[in-house]
Amino acid sequence: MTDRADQDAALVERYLRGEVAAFDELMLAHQDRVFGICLRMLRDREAALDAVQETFITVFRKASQFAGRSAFSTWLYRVAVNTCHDAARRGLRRRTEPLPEANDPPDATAGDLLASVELRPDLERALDALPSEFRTAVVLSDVEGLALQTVSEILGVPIGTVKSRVFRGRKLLAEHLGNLRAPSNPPTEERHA
Amino acid sequence: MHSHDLDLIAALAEGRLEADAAATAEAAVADCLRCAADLAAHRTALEAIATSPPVALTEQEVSTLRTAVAEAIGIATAPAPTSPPPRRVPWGAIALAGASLAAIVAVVPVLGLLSTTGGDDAGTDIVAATMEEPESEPRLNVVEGSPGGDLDATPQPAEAADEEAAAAAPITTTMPATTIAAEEVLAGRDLMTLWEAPEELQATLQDQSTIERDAQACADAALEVLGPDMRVIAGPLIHAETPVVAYVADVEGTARLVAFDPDDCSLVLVLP
Repeated sequence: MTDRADQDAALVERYLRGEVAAFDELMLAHQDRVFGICLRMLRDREAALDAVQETFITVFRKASQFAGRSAFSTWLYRVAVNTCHDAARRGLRRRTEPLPEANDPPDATAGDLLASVELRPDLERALDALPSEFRTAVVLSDVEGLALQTVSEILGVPIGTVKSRVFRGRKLLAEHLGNLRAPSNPPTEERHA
Repeated sequence: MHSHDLDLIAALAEGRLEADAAATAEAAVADCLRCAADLAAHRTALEAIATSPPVALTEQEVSTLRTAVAEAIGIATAPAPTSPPPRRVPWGAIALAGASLAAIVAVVPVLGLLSTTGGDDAGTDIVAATMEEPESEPRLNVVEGSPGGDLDATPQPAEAADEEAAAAAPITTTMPATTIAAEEVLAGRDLMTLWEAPEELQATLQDQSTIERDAQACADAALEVLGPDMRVIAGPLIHAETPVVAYVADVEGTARLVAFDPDDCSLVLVLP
């Protein structure tokens, strides 16, 4: 266990004894990273905030079940990933259910979806184009910098599967980045290709 | 590089190799077109990620989040937010999850009929594993919002939620006793027929094709519960809204069902 993991385990114990300060410390220690994961997975700030909220509610309500077999953060991020998957699925269904009439005016908010993420647009669009299992692996491993073993525990898949997803995810990401940059950056101007 | 060594390419792209090893690897990659293309792709992706600004919550978002979570889990000393009112807590979604789990638990007992040897008390020995949940565990402490699980449902008072949940959730440690009538209705139907037949069950669990969660979710836990001789008939069956992962398996000729909480693969239910 790392220092952070030991600290978290102690904080969970204190929280279960009713110490509000432990709740605050756990939130402060992890909220930005959970938000980062959710924002990259959902690509919408409001949706990410909802998912972060739902994640922490779930984790604190089930804190008594935390057995300490893995790090608290691993458990937390696993809940976050699952919450984001569920949120994405709900969002997808919500978007696909009401088919708009052909002569309906275009959705004025559609163009704001990616802008609301407030991140590097080309990267976000490229991440958006990845299959979700690749995107999740790349986000956890490369964006959040988690160890492959930790990602393996979070996703509940063998480490070899994680490696494969990260590898393929990076290749797809590079392909999409190339496509996205093409219109404004002709090949002759590419310096790092 | 004679073989397409993915680990080496990744290590090189991530800068994890010592200088000498990196130089050797670079030279090897240069002799392999496919390796060079992969290395370039890795570096492009990693460079884009590295130059992306970090994300962080604003102070207002931190305050709002803290308040909403504290209220939801019953911490009374949560400070008041500094500006807008707290973000809504998605009670509807949480309630829907609880209701769906209850629906699954209510429906699956009939499966036990098909795997038992018969008799009036078939199914009475079905035991649902408890999760050692605290009293404030969300599944039992919420009420359903609108029938469609309206995310904007107004939060319910905790007392009302407790009463309604207690009335609506038949989640107990022992499944209800089966009836002779039920056995007659189900007579002659095999497990897969039953699994595909009831509309409620179908609606609850059928859309596995849209499930993004890993296809092996809680597979190890299922193996641990059912033993190495199990043969999965259906699963993992994951509800579209609520986190319940279920497996139906043939264990030495007997159909059994196990359900897990995918957050930590803790056992929720085992039949029979």
